[in-house]
Order: sequence, then C-alpha cells, then structure tokens
Amino acid sequence: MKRQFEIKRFLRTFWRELALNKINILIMIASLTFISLLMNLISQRPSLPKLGRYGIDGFPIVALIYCVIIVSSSFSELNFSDRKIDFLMLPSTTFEKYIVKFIYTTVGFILLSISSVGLSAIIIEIYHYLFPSGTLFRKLLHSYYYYNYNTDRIFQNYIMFHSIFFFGGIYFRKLELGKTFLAAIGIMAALGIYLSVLNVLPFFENVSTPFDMMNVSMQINENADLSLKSWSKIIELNRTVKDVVILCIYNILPIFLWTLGFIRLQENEVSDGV
Amino acid sequence: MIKISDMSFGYRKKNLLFNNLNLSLSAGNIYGLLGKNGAGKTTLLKLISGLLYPHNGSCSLGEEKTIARNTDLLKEIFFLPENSFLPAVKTHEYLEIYTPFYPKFNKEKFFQYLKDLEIETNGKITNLSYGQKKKFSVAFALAAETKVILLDEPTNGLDIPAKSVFRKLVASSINEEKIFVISTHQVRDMKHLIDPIIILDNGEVIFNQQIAEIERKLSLRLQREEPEENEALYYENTLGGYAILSENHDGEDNDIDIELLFNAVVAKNEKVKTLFNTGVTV
Repeated sequence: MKRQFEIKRFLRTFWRELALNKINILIMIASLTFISLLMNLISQRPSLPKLGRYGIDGFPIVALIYCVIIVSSSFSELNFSDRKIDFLMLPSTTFEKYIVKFIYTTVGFILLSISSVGLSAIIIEIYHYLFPSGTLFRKLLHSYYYYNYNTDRIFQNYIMFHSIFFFGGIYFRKLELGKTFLAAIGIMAALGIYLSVLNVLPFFENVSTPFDMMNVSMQINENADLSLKSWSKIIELNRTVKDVVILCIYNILPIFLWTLGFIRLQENEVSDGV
Repeated sequence: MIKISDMSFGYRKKNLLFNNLNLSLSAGNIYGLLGKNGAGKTTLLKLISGLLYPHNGSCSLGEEKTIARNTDLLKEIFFLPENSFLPAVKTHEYLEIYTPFYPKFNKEKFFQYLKDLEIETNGKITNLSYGQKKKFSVAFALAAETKVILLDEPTNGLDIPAKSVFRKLVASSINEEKIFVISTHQVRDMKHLIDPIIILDNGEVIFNQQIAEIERKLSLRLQREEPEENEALYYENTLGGYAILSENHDGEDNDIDIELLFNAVVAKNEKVKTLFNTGVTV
C-alpha cells in the first residue's frame, strides 16, 4: 500500500497540481463570481420576471457547466506529447496522480464555487453599504439566498456529471468534452428507447419489484388484455424501473466510472504514442 | 546497469520496430544513440524509461523492470525529450514544484549550470527562447543526479558556445553510478563525449562499440585521389579530395569522424560487422 500511496509524495503531487494551475483557478473564481453577479443583476430586472427566477436558480447549472468543462479537461496533459511525458515520468504513483485530480475536481471545485458565490455576496454587501438606498443598482442588486437550494440534489447531479466527464477526460484523446457529451447522449438515447419499449409492452403480470424484471420472459401472459388492472401494473413497473435507473445513475454509475477511469489511466501510462 | 532482453515492440503489432532486441548499458558510460529518422531511437528511450510497454521481453534497471514504473525507479530515471514541457512559472517556483521529487537534486549545481549556460533566472521560464528553455531543461536534468539520464536530441536549438558547455557539463556529471544515453543526429556536437556508440537501423542495433575499439580497428585518412574499391572500407567525396575509412593495420592512434563512421556502418554493415566481430581483414 505504501508503494501505491505515501502521504508525503501525495502532498508533493497535490502541491504541483496547485502550483501549475493557480492562474486557471483564479480565472475560474473571477469568471464564476462575475457570472454570479451578472445573473443576480439579470434576475432582478422587473421586466423579466421569469428570468428572475431562473437567474437565481440557474447558478448551480452554470457551476455544473463549469464542472463539466473542467472535469473533462482535467487529464488534458495526456493529449500533449511533452506534457504527457512530464506527467508520466513524475516520480509519483498513478493512484496518487489520479486521487489528486479527483480531489481537485470534486472538493476543490465545490470550494471554488462556494468561494465565487461568497465573493459575489461580499461584493453586493459592500455595494449596499456604500450606496445604502435609492440608487438604481440598489434595486438591481440583491444578495442571493443560496441556502434555499436543494443541496442534496445539486450534489447528486454534480457527482453523476463528474463521474461521466472525469472518465471521458481520461478515456478520450482530444475533444474529450465533445466526445463524452456525444457518448452520454447516445447512451441516454439507448436507455430511453429501451424504457419506451418497456412502456408499450402491456403483457406483464405480477411484475412489481426490480428483481421480477429478470423473469419478465417467464411471466408474459399471452392471453392478457389491456385492462385498468394491467395499466396500473405498468405504471407501477415504470415507477420501479425509474427508481432502479435513478439508483444506478446516482449511486452505482459514479463509482463504476471512477474505477474504470483509474484502470484506463493505468493503461494509458504505457499505451503507445506517448 | 540497464539490460534489455529479447524485447519486441512495434506501434502496430503486425509491424514490429524492435524484434528480440538485446542490449546492455553499463554504468559510468555516456552512450551515443545514433540512427536515421525512424530508426527507433526515441522509441528505445521511451522503452527504457518505461513509457512504452514491450510486446515481449523486458528492460530492467538493476533488478527492477522499468515498466513497473514504481516511484523508486522514476526517481532514478530522468527522460528529457526533444521538446520538454516547462510550465509558466519562475525558476524558484519550478524548483519548489519539482525538486522534492528528486531527493538527490543539487541546487548549487543547478544554478552553476545555468550560469555556465548563460541563463537568466529572473522571469518566467516560458518567456525564454527555445534554446534557452533547452538549456534550462538540460541543467535541471543534470542537477537531478538520477542514475539514468536519457537525453533526446539535447543539442537541438543550442547555440555554438552552449554546445561546448553542454559537452563539458555532461562530461563533468558522469560518474561510476550514472548512465547517460544521448540520442542525436548532431554527431559533431557529441565528439569526444559519447562513448560507446550505438547505431540503430530498422529497429536493430547494428553497431555497439567503444571509441577506443573503433580507433583500434579503423583509421581515417584524407587523400586527393579516389581510392580503389578494396583499399577502403568506406569513403566519401569531401572538399579537396576523399575522406577514407579503412582498417587500421598499423594500430596508430587516429581521430575517427563519427559522421563518416555512421555512414560506413549503415552502408557497409556486413563488412564492419565482420571486422569488429572477428578482426579479420575485409
């Protein structure tokens, strides 16, 4: 284990990542703060009541878009010959390099988003302090109420998107964001088609748990008519399938993709075309 | 010691670049790795450093296979590619980032090397010119004090005085524990530095000899008249006559031109092989 992970070496790798990306991190905080302020400004325009709601609620979506871009490019050095050699020849294990990137794009990015929101709130508060009342901007700028967000849901979505684009960043060489996006759409479309096909099969009887799904072929009732009872079964089945799919997407998929990403990175270390 | 045993590798499995390659590199030497474009020089350096995985066979440093890429090995191998990556940081920041990974790194030597190579250390490294970046990377590679230093075309982009300084620095860095492997096309830059000389052609080591042995077996002379076919091992038309590489019959000391030697080995490989393997007249 010590060979795979050593705290001193890990900290060195962590420091290297921070030192090499500090400008990018500052740019990200600045731009996210700017977007946060801008959205606040737009959200308060009386002529755009609908946008107002989206303006406030939309910040997590912006942060998610940032996350997707950052995460998918977190292993971009593997796409450049010189940077790849620098990365691979660094006396640190693949596991340590992987964990460093993982922490930066999960904990690091969450801290970065909170910093941006905090910074924008401080700017707004300072503005209010300097211009207490009556100004045009006083009406336009209001502090956010981020504590109203459903943080569990945001976190779940973040983890799911992180795992998909983190894996894509390792798996694809060049245009990793676009390729991951297309692959994700393809998989979702296939899943959608599969579920739609399930929807139009009104022949299930006694199918109520996810485990019964495995025995679907055994339980087809060829003489069944479409009845209210069978419709209720279908709805119940759909709910079950939906629950299973959500369980997989939010809990199993991230772990699966993170593990797969690490294995792929190990393969990448000795792949051809370095 | 680096030992390459029965190693096969190709970027495509059907088209092998190296087929059962065997090579031993001993500590205390500065190996010159020569070859035409596409001969496999850089690939061999990558295989030695563990960046590429051979289809068959292995490459070991001491007892450990380099492909294991464990941190103890990585600490002892420095691979400087032709175009190395330097981040947009200042020199002292670069040292703060990278030197902890190399426990034997010698800062005093590093700054001395930079001074010798006339590099200013004030601004960001990325503001340096291509040649200056190369000098910076070379200085870092030498100061890292790793057991194995693999340099791919290290003199490309260096100015004329720097090439001379480079030779001095490398010569002063070598000791009984270190192995240098320098892949280069600039053989004149490496004169009086590389020894032994390894020549690769089509993925094969077609020549691997020490300079002393080469000078014992071969002699170089210049003459105005074109030599007879059996008089020379190899000859080239030069300004004012012919440069002739022939067997050294009288055992006199002479200064071999590596470029001429390379051309002779590639063009008359069988003859050269016979001469060096058996010592018989060709």
